[in-house]
Amino acid sequence: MVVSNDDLFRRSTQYRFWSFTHSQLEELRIVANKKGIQKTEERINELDDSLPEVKLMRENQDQFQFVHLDEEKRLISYYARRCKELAAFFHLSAQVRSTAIMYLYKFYLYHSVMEYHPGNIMLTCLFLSAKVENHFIGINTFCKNIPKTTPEAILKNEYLILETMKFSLQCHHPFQPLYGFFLDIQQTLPKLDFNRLGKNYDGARELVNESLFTDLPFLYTPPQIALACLWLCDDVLVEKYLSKKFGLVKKSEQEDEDAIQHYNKLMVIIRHCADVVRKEALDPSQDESKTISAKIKLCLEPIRFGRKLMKQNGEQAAKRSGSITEGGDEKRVKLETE
Amino acid sequence: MVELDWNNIPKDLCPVCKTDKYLSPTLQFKINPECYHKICDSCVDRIFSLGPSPCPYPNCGKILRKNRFKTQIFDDVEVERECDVRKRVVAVYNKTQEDFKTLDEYNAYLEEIEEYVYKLVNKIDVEQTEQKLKEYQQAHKDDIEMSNNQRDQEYEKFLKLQNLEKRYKAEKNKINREIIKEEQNLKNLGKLEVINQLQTASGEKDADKIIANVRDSMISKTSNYKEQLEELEKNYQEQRERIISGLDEIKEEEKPKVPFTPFNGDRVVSPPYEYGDYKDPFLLKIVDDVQYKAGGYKIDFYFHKSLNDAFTGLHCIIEEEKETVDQVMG
Repeated sequence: MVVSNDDLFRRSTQYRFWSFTHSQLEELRIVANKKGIQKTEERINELDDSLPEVKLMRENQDQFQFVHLDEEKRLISYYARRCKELAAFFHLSAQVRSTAIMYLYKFYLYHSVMEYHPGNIMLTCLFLSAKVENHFIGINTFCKNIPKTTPEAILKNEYLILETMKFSLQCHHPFQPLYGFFLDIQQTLPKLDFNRLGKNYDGARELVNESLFTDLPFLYTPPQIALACLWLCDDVLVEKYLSKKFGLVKKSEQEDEDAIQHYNKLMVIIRHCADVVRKEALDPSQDESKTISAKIKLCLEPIRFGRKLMKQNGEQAAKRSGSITEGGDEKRVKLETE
Repeated sequence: MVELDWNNIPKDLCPVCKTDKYLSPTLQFKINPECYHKICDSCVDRIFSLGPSPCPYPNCGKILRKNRFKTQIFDDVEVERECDVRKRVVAVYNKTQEDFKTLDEYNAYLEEIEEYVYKLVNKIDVEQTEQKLKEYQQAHKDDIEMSNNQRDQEYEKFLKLQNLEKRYKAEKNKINREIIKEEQNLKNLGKLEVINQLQTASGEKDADKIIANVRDSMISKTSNYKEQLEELEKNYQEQRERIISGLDEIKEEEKPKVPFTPFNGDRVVSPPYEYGDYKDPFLLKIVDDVQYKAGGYKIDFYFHKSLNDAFTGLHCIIEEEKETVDQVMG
């Protein structure tokens, strides 16, 4: 039996564990979100009913807001962006950076932000990926440069992440294939202006970086994403290259049906990829992340929700009573309302 | 204390530290081709370890370096000196007879060498001769190098031939020994047969048959060995010719470049790309950097890896393939 390059890819863990169809991917996220909601509800139920804030919370349970599926996705992307900045701070290579981001996304296919805050998971992912990609940073050095964190907080999640990764740590990124195409285009289209190719290659690299913030790495193979990014920069070039590669240039001769089909299929994928890269690369603002983050905090510690309600009630009561008492007297007001 | 006569130093005494070979048998003398004054090993270490120093002999004053010191081969210093000079000259004048059209030319060339050696050894026109030597070296730089390479190759060939012959002889001896042993056995068998015939006058045919069989097999064995011997001889001649004509190296290069596969040939031999000359202004700069070269960095490997990665999974359509897998798995 002959094993082609594609067969080799089919044996990789990236294909076996981390490649999905659109619907499978959606399904995974829905399940994870449901799991998060369920965990939060459990946490709420475990609370001591005798506490006044819990009582108040129970009355207003319908007001409690869970994190929506879309919000989860946006928040993860927000932290993926921060991960990129942090990697730049540590002067890490594209490989380390991309692997860390992939770990973060992979982790939240099986977990919800309502279980683990992505801010913490992101740090561990970066630390882990630096190790995996042979660019080790000592945990103390790593922590020293990040405010408000301890080595224990980072290492605590490490095994959990490894387990979620199913211990398959290798990530194939589109960078190397992109470079491969950069080389092969030189060979296939010898008359091409080198500067044009070089410029498009640089542009495509940027887009590959962007593609990390979409679902593409789960849906398509690295070479396909690489070609799509290059296509976005110079569609004429890529189409010319591919048609020559598939032997479609000599129009006079009999055209190979299979080749045309392959070519068309690949072009559909490329167009779709390019569309996603252009439109769906998420970059949520800090404000947005703050509001979602606040929600997560409530989910992780539901008792805060009760406290918040009480505070609100207290303020309202204070206003109603003519707002004589201010500032330090708030506590007394609270007691009165009870 | 007796003052040392510097012009007549005893044979086994180091004039610097006055150690005698009789008292310390491990004593070893070294000389430096600058002045050929002998100094013992430990003195060389002591004096010249910190860098070049003048020779400790009075009225010498030559600056010596530790790495130039060597063990004396000939007792006579003059012979030693001539050998060194000859080595130096021949390193530059390294043509062989095949490089000349006529014998006369070659002889003239050898004569020239001898003249230089004579002049340098006897210190006649030393500076002038050195100058000439240097000029010749400069002018024939490429020739000298080529000649050197050729000599290295010849030497390598010679070593190979020697090895081959050694192996051949060992093998041949082994087979010959076996043949002698078999012949001995055959003789013994003849005797045994006679005894057997005498013993069984009634003539047991089976015994006769057995003996005849044994003998037949012995004979066939010896002839077998002879065949082996012939085969060996033939192989040896073939290999010898190949080495002499320099064909064996070419053969190694012609080996097909198939990547290792556990089940021999389950990989696509021809890659989906054509390897060629690639331009990458950044990387190609690195290739010439000694720092990377020393580590064994080869740009070809990187190119091959990138190209392979580009086609690894290009035609995997996850959307279709995973869908069917899902159905199969339920």
